[in-house]
Amino acid sequence: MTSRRDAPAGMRRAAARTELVAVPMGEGRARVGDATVTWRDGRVGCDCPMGDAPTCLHRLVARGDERARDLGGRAGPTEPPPALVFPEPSKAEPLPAEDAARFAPILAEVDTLVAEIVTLGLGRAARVSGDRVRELAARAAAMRPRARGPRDAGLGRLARSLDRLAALLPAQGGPDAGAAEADALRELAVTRNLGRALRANTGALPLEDIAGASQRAYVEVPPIEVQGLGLEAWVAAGGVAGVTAYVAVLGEDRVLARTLLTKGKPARPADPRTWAEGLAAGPAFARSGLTMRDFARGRFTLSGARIAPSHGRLSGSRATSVALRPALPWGDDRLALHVLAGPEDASRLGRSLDFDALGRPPRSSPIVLLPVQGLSPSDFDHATQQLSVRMRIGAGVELRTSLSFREERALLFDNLEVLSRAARPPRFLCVRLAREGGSLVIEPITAMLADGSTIDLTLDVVDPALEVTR
Amino acid sequence: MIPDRLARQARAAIEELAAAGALERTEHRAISFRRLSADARSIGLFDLATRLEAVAAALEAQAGRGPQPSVTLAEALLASYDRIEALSARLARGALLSAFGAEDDDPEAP
Repeated sequence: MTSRRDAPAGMRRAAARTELVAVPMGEGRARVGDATVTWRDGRVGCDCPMGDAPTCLHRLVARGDERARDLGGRAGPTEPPPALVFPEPSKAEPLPAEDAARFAPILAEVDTLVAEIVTLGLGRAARVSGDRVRELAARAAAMRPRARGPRDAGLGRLARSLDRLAALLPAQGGPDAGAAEADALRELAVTRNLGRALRANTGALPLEDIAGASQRAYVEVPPIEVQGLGLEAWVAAGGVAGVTAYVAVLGEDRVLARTLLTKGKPARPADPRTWAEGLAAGPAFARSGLTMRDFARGRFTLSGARIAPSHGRLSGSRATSVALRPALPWGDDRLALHVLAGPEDASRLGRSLDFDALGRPPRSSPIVLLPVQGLSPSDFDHATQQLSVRMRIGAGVELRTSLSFREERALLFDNLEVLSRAARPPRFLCVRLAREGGSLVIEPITAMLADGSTIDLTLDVVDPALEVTR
Repeated sequence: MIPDRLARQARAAIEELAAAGALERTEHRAISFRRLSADARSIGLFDLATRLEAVAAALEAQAGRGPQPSVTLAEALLASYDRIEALSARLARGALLSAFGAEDDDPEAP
């Protein structure tokens, strides 16, 4: 079978509705139900009893076309999926007076608590105010929407902000106190701003943004085609650790994130080999055999994908089925929206650096591809504990960045020191655009090497043999 | 004073105050914030200057209050933090654009 159009209409309809899912098995094979579908020499075969027929249900499911198109259309299999329509954000609305009145006492207590923490300082507050932060977080969380009130008229956002603050307080004075203080200060500011916004109650924002009774549910989106950009192991200031696969939605300026967290805090967070490898080999979706690492590298059509529109996070839902596609070359036009190569890209992608006073997460992860022409040998400044890297990405365009050392970044630093001295630079770097201490930071996550191999810089060890003496 | 340096110094002062609190070196901190406010005013960042001045005033008031929590101080400090974050975001975006030889098209860019 070379085209889905060869399939009878009834079989195509069945493929669109079946609960069968394609599970990539590697080496051009996928498992669909009890059958194995193989791709060889441009032909798709199946070992089911209909293997000799031009097509079968398993092959249609494996190709994923039926769920990625309008059944009445005549598009060929190489045509991209239809333009994706992400759910609209919620509409702006004021908080009903009844809710404003019942929230007022807690908001007043939060103001007093914030004043106490600022006056005492985070260091002292960590010892004397932690219990009150947790108690207020629990009371805010208990402020659920009224039976006939708006769905989001609760204090969920405030409760979650206080929870994060409570988790950060014990880290004050710890080994990474600077980052913990900065994170706690940010959370204090968000807490204060949420209280102000709730009291001002101008009706200019969706209640989801300021009240947010519960984190917005994941919603199913139409079939999407995604290309993996990179995989990252990370440790947050409160000790939470996880692995995140970043995938670009082709044809959209969105990068979605699929994350697996460790169960509890890892015993040795600074050594990702002890906790991240298991997560990288974990399932990207509950009913697929696709690992996080493979998801972060390949191209797939996702049917029944569920995303949190307000965060750009993908869920690992059992309802999501995955069809493998040939990986795109990094220079492919369909990835152009995700490549930072010129001033227009910088203007567009740089918006991810904007500040949000209410702490709302970006709808798209700030992950971009850099087409690298050369790297200058990195330089580690022992006085400031910063690693400087220069990346040449075009004629006269050199991006410089300085990354602050943290224990959990040790592997990344080692890798960048080797990679920046390699005889051949990577062809592309998947990087995060961020601000650190207020300054622009370009944090490499994954390197695509000239030989076609890929290295996840926070998980893998770059072969020291790549380093040349310069 | 250039905006980058002011943003770094003001951020450091805000973070240091948040970490250590307002119970010690209160008057010394008030002088630092008043100086930062003057620097912000001298480069046209009037809103930031007003917020930093409010921190200085709240610190001076705190000196006579003892350990009693100050809502005014918290308001002034966190408002200053928001202004510094917004300024840093614009500067970071400007730095990215300038690497490509472009200028920030944001009309509020410093």
